[in-house]
Amino acid sequence: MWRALFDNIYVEKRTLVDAETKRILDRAGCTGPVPIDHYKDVFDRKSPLGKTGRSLILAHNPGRHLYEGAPVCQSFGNEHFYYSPGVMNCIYDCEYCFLKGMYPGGDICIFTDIDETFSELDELEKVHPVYVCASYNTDLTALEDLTGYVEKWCRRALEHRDFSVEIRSKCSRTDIYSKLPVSDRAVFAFTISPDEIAGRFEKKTPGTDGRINALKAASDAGFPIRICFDPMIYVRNWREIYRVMFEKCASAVNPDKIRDISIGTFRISDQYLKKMRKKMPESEIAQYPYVSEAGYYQYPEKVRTSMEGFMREMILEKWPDVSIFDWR
Amino acid sequence: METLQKPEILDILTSEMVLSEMMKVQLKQMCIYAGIAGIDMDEIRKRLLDEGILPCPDKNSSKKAMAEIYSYVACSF
Repeated sequence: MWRALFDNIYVEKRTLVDAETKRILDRAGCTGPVPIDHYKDVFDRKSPLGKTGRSLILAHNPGRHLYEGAPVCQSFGNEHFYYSPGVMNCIYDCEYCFLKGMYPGGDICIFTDIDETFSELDELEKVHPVYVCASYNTDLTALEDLTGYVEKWCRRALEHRDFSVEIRSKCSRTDIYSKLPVSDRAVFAFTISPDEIAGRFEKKTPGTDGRINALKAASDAGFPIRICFDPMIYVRNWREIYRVMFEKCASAVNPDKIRDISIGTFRISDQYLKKMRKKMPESEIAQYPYVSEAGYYQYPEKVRTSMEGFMREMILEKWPDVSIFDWR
Repeated sequence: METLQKPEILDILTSEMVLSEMMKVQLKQMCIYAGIAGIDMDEIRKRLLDEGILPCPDKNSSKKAMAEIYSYVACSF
């Protein structure tokens, strides 16, 4: 199955003997990975024009295992907010994703030394509670059959009182949640988009219904749920398509099961947008004439307030008691 | 009358306003986006001509025209 997703599987020579690496190779059904010296030898290559395939790289993380969250990311009231770069890049192909400005190509790199991440967390937890976005640079749920990392993060949340984790996804899988260790410190966040946005700008992702079904499966298994109407993407008929999307959510989701909701229109750092415009000259999202504020490109105030306000009003009307966060 | 294509409309609008280099960059980005998003820039040009906003004799009036064009391209709903 994984051979269908990846043209090649590369493994750093120093990781070949690791149990975690062997486990992932075994799950991938790979008996002959290509040994490399450093993950950057492959990962940092720019994708040639027209190349659509991608490679999988298994490596050790030579840098930090946890980073403090960026200002444009929501902390949901958590004071000590970090993200883990344990997997870099995503099997989905969202046109607006900051990963397009962050990484040179589409290859996916899994750092197999996840235990080192947990060791860093052990030290942090001695000082203060820690909240980690574990699926920040990837869609961890979509890769669960390969990595098993969602299970590891959930188990840690169950066993560590001062640790909580958010696993954000667009994946429509419904079969994994009942097998995971449940705790109220493992929050499953689902980015819900209108079908039109998913179809046009979030290539290879499931549509609205698939994501709602996954959300319900996670909720039924006992996990707290976060709904992310973020990023909202401006198109001329945005009002209509976001209304239809929200009505689907409202009719399918029990608000008592929702921990909170995030709202946010698209925004991106100026450096990433410059790279995306160069990479994607025909992209409607990359080429939109954003306004720049404090190093971030975003929609003009009229668009931002209209779209976010519209979404907030719909939520408050149907689900008046649910907490709503926005990124500002 | 044929709809003006992206490079032509940029040249024409530039010739009808007094723009700084920064404003030229902004106008070009609006034209690029309009071309991708299927927004007819000739429509707003005609409207601004009808309303006497175009052509612009100076930079101040050009700022007003630019704001109208931006609103049409980036904030229409």
